[in-house]
Amino acid sequence: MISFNNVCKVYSGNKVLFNTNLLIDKGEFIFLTGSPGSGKTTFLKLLSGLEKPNKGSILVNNENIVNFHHDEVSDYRKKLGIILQNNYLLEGETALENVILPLKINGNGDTQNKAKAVLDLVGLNNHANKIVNYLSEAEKQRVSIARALISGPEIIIADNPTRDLDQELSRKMVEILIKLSKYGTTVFVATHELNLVEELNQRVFNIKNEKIVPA
Amino acid sequence: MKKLFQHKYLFYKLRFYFKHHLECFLSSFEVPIKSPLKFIYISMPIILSILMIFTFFLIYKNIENNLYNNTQERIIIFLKKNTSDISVNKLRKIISSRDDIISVKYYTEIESLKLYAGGDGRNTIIENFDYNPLPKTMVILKKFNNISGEKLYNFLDKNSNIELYKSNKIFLKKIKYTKNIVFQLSTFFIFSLIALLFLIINSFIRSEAFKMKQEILICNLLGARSSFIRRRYIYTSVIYLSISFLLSYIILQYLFYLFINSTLIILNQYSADHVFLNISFVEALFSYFSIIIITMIVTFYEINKLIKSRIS
Repeated sequence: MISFNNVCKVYSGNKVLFNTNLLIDKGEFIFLTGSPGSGKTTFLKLLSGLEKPNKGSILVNNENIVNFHHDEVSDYRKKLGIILQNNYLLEGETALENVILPLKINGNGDTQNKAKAVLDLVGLNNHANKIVNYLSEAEKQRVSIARALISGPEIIIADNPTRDLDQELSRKMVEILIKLSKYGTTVFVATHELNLVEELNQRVFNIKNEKIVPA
Repeated sequence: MKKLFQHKYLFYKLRFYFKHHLECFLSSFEVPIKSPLKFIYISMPIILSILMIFTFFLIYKNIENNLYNNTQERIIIFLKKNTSDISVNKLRKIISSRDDIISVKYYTEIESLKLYAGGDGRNTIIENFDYNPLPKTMVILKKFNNISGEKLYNFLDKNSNIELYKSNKIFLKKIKYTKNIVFQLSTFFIFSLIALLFLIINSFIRSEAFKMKQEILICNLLGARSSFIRRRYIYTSVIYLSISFLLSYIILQYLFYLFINSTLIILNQYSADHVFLNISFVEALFSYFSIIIITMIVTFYEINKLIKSRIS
């Protein structure tokens, strides 16, 4: 269970989130919408422990992640699958090596087969050994999604994951995430694509005037 | 069953931990082995700094060692012909009573001649003499001291039994002056070069870490602990510094060997007393560990700074 309790986030005098409250159950799929700069990315960064709120608490499985120290945040992040707008890929490494990285960090075995299976799931099995620098933006985006999926995370945090994808691929990627949520993974997807949101008929929250409200 | 599972899990984690250590250790040798020229180019400033520190340290050490024997002042007193044995003994007693006197030796005319003849090739000169030109002689060895020495010289000047005396005081003064200058310069250069080496290591690690900034941020994003991220960089910098140290040491030994071989010829010509000291094992080990500790601290600090940097 994830709960935001009176969370406030201020960036150099600008309020982004103010007294935000939210309760999400395990295995829910959430679309986050809102105009650019409304605070979607900030919300996801707060949830992933990349930022700390100025006020309030964020409880994940009854643990306040705001009070975590550095190594606890790292351990918490191992349970997450994070897809950020800037893909954060190792540009000089292959797609396979990028996807394997979370498993290496977690110290898991059988990395190659798992990575190949996940790359196959996002339709990149033919590009596994290509250097990321030579992939298109859409392919990089899918590598990033594959990397987020590989360790079987409890929570997936995706900031605009369909940004560089065409409509068909976008739908396919989000459908994979919806499928994962049915197996118990909580998924947050921030997006501008309202058509996709309407089409897939999932729970939607809108960020407006520093508050998160159900759409 | 649960306990067994826990043990298995612990064993698995330990295996992963040591495997990662081994991977980091082996990957640190990638550049030095695959592209040694690139490695030398990267570590040249470090090699040169260590080499210079060692060179100045050796200068310091050898000057201290070789000039120590020359810190004893030697005064040769030629007594007048008619000086009686009683006067000689009295003079000897007065001089010996001083605190700074190491030894006083008295030689009769014949003994003085024998002493003189001891030198190379002088025997033939003496054989040509039909009389003994040397007077009764006294050789005094005293500790070199500018202030208390003057009193002794005043006493020697006033003594009526003394014909003439010679001292190596001025030579010693020059030696002491030169030794002090070299000491001060060596100390200054050693400390300056240590500071420079620290800066070079710092900038080397900073530039290496900055190249890997993206990788550090990604590992941080994916939940890698700080120790996991740091491990690879600490191994790399320690291995790089170790190889640089070893190279500097080998170059130093070669230069030392060349220097000794060339100077031995000159020193033997002048029959100069000398012992050249090399860097001892303890000194080399101490320097190595000091450099490695500095490197580890700097790496730790620089990587931590990057780990704590924000992900946009």
